[in-house]
Amino acid sequence: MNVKNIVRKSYVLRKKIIDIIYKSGKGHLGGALSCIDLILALYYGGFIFFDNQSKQNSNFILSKGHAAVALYVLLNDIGFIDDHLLMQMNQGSIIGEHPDHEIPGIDVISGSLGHGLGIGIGRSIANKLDNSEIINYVLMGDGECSEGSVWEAVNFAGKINLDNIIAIVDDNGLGILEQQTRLKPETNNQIWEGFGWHVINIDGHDIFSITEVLNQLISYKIEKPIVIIANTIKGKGISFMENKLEWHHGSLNEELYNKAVRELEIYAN
Amino acid sequence: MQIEKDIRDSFFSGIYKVMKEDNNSVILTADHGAFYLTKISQDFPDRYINVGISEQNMVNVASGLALNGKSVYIYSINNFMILRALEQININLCAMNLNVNIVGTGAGFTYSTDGFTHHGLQDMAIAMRLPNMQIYNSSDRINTYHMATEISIKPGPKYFRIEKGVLDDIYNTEFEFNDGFGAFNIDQNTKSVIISSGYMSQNSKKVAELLSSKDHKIGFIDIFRVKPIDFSLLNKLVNKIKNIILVEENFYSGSLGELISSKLLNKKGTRFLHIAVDEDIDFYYGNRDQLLKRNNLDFDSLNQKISVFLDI
Repeated sequence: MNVKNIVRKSYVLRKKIIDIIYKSGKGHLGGALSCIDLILALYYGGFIFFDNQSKQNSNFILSKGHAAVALYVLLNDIGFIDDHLLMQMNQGSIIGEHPDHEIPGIDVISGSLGHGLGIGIGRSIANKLDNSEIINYVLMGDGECSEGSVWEAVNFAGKINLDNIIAIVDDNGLGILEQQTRLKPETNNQIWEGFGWHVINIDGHDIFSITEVLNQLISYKIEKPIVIIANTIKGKGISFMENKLEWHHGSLNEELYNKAVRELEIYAN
Repeated sequence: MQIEKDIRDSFFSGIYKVMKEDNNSVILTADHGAFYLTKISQDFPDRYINVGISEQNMVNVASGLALNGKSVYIYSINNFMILRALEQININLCAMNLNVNIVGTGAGFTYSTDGFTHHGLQDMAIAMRLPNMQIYNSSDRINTYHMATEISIKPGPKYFRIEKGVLDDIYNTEFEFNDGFGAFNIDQNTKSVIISSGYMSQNSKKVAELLSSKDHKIGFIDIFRVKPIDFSLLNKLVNKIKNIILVEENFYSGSLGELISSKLLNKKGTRFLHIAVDEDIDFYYGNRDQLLKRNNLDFDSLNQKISVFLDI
């Protein structure tokens, strides 16, 4: 799919996210809207896959599980989750705020933060043992990177030079209660580099750049684990949610819903 | 069948055999060693990984390997896995029901000079609350070898609490381990039974043998599979027995004794004695027997307490 179409889709799927959360009464809006462009670039750029046969065995882990709705709308778009189920999120169905391994297309439970990177590393080691060329992608949040287990995983992958794992940090800068304690970007880069990782900084809403950078990284065959630190905006795409702490998790009344939809439809059509 | 004398060696020699036969098996250690592990690391260098002292990460990595179809062993000290990495184990191994074997040393007062941090007095009770988890306690080299070669290759998350050193044999090599426990000296004349698990089965079996007489026959049961326990089978065995004594090297609360008493004491007239470890933390360092003595779990104390209870 060309970049222009992925961009258009990103607004169509944002609209679906808003529809679901309006109907369900609540949801994690901010973090879903900050990482939806990353997820779409990864999928429609041809980097991640979902196994149609088993409905499991993907090379993608959404470690920041609270953004599950952003993954559900993609899984709906590619036929793993049907329209009816999608709109039943949180309302007596098999999909809820956080993903689990019984949902088609999803392999791991990720409601608790700081687990996904280690799991991805385990899968990458298994791929090496099986002489598979598969690269595993793990999408994390910047708030999640306060978890100690993230750094156990970072240290370990760096130590063994694991070159078939790509971590992506959705760096939207906001937690639940306050702005995340932010290191200067160059210090953050130095920390990852110090652990032996190759670090790339990108604009996490620029789908063209994301796919370009990933294609280059893969063709260079960098013999290290890779982290993409994606500068993003929490609540991206809906003006009154952007960079607003209160939209980490929220609900929409009719007025706000209509306002959000009007903004998104300008780009979606 | 040649089984190593040292109980930990018997386990890892079994794992060596499994890894030799199954290319899909992988072992991770959190920088925790064992004699046979060195041999495994030399002979299967690709499938032996020291993840460093990072038990939470070790569990997550194991989960990823298992998701891709590997049969995984992870090895460290019991507390550092079950207590420190509890959430990773609960979600990524148990809720996802993956083929990962947790292998740990440090049951009870194994690390008797290393203090409270290393004493495994709570890990079993905690692990008993984990969904899908199977729990095994090694009580001699023969059941331990069986755990490695026969049980660890079965599906699902499992927790093996392995002993160290040379202990007396409780079983013979012909024993059928399917029931999850071994029963000794139990028939319609048995008046009392001592039930135990792991290292405590050593002293418990000896006390049962010493105190048993023609007038008062005392049986012994070693529960080596703590979860799940086949209670209907166990109940059939003990439902005519008047006195049940449960000996364990764990804190009293939430552990085997509470479970057994709630499941087996459903008829009037059964007397129950539970001997376990007091929760007043004892900051005391010495050999294992010294620490056991302070908790009435050494041979002499057990002998005395049980004699009084049975009035013999």
